[in-house]
Amino acid sequence: MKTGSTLLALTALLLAAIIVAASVGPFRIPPLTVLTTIVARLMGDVDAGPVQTVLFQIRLPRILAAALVGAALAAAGAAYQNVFRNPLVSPDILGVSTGAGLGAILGILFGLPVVAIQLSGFAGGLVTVLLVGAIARSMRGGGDALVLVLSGIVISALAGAGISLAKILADPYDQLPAMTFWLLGSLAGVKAGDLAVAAPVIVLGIIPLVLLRWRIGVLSMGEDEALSLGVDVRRMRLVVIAATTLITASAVAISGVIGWVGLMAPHMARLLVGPRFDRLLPASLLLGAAFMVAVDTIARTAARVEIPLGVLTAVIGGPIFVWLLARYRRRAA
Amino acid sequence: MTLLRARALAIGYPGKVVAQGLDFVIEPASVTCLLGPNGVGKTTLFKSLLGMIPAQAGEVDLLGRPLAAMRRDEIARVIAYVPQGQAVEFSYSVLDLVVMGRTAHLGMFAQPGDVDFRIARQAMMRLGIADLADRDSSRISGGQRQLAYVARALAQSAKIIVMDEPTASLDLANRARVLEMIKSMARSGLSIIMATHEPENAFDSADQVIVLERGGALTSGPPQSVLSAELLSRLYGVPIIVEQTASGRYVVRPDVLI
Repeated sequence: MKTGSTLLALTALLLAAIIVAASVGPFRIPPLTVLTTIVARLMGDVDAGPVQTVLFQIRLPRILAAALVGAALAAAGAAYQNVFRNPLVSPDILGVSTGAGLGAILGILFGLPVVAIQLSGFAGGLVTVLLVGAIARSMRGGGDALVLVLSGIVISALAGAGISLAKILADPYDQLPAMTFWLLGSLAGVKAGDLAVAAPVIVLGIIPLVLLRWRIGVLSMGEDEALSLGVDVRRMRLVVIAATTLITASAVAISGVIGWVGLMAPHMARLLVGPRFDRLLPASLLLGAAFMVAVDTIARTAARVEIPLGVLTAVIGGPIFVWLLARYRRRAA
Repeated sequence: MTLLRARALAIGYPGKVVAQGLDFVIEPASVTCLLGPNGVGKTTLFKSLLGMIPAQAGEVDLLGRPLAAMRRDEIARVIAYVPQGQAVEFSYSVLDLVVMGRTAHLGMFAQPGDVDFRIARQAMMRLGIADLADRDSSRISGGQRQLAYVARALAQSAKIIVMDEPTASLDLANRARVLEMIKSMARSGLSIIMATHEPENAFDSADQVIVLERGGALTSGPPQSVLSAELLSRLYGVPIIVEQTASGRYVVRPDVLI
């Protein structure tokens, strides 16, 4: 089947991206050596040589983190675009990212240790969405997508103001660069331990999206039609928002705020496999992961200093997106 | 068995009741036309019958059970909805759109299977749109899309299909096709409730008409006895003449000289 082979190709793309990413860097490891070393390690051959150390202590945790964050943001974006029936919506529409940003920035401002900064970011994201939900509920027609989005914009703006204030109060030589770097996204500091904490939470958030994929797809018909087709719209929306918030907040907690992927990856996936959510979700996951692995590899190798991910996703993602759009629009017309 | 019964039903939103004390029934294998001027609450009534908004008083029973106590998928297996044919945001193929009608028959975590796609294709065949299966539903004509929504409702295998002005925005040929199809669906055992602005459609195809007047008064019964010139004139606020032609057809026209 056409979709099947597309998904297969995307899987191959992701694996290729991972192997290339593992091989490049200041300490070059040939792709074949990457493969044989991974196989050997899986067979139980552990040594303390430089190849294994670089691969398993440094590169692979970071690459896996990139894949995880990319997949997470893309899945969240795909689900949100369906729920809000709007292809221009991204996972931070309800303010998760800004809220998480504020949480982390406050953590930096108060000089908390790294783990606490991540936790504070995660909490900031959750609190923001809960607040948005509470505000929307208190209004008439609270389940309304528009009311939710507008509440999200308001709370986002408030959190944004909080971030600006924190930046002014921050120590310009020590804290401010850390804040800026965090707000632009980076995987430079990711440890295997962070991954072990974030990965289960992200997977926990993705599971309901996978299980409920057909009903989430039907949500894109709009509230009235989805209801008449037998979908409990409010409950389904609640599940998606909860799952997506969990996913995005944990992703942001380990990588900082990375824009653009959650909006673009589902779009690219839709161009490849069509709008059906049961196909869109796996395609978005794979594409988001592969894209983020590629971007993060460029971030750590292209220049002498780390380039912020948020900058690269926009600079690389933008042209790819325009190219895809032009190509497929022409074919469809 | 009566499919649907409205008892002392009040429709509208909290603080704004549009009409109240509505009583009517929908029998199996029947066509019911809902008539009323713009803004009188036809869509609100439909939303209440479909359980999209709660009744403000009274109740709706589906197959003898109160609608308010039923789960969404239980409701959807009894009553389906055909919206006006506007395009959706995402470009689903027509077949994918139609197979969404099977959702209420699927388990919470299930996907439509071969059986569901077969039912969807059969529904499309019945409406003569089988050849549209792989077309992009956002790039077909409004009339074709309307038929696709009807096919989706058929695939839903409900007992009642509610249609919101199914003939609005259709050309002459498609309009005749849709009306003919509605009558044939009723003959095969389905019940149709449709809103229409054309009393002649009601004379032509309805077993029952429900007239909703401004202020919320409701009259129901066979079209020949309900749709008098007097009631229609009152309903639309212009003098209206109802004539029967030699062939037995009813002609409704405003008595306005231009």
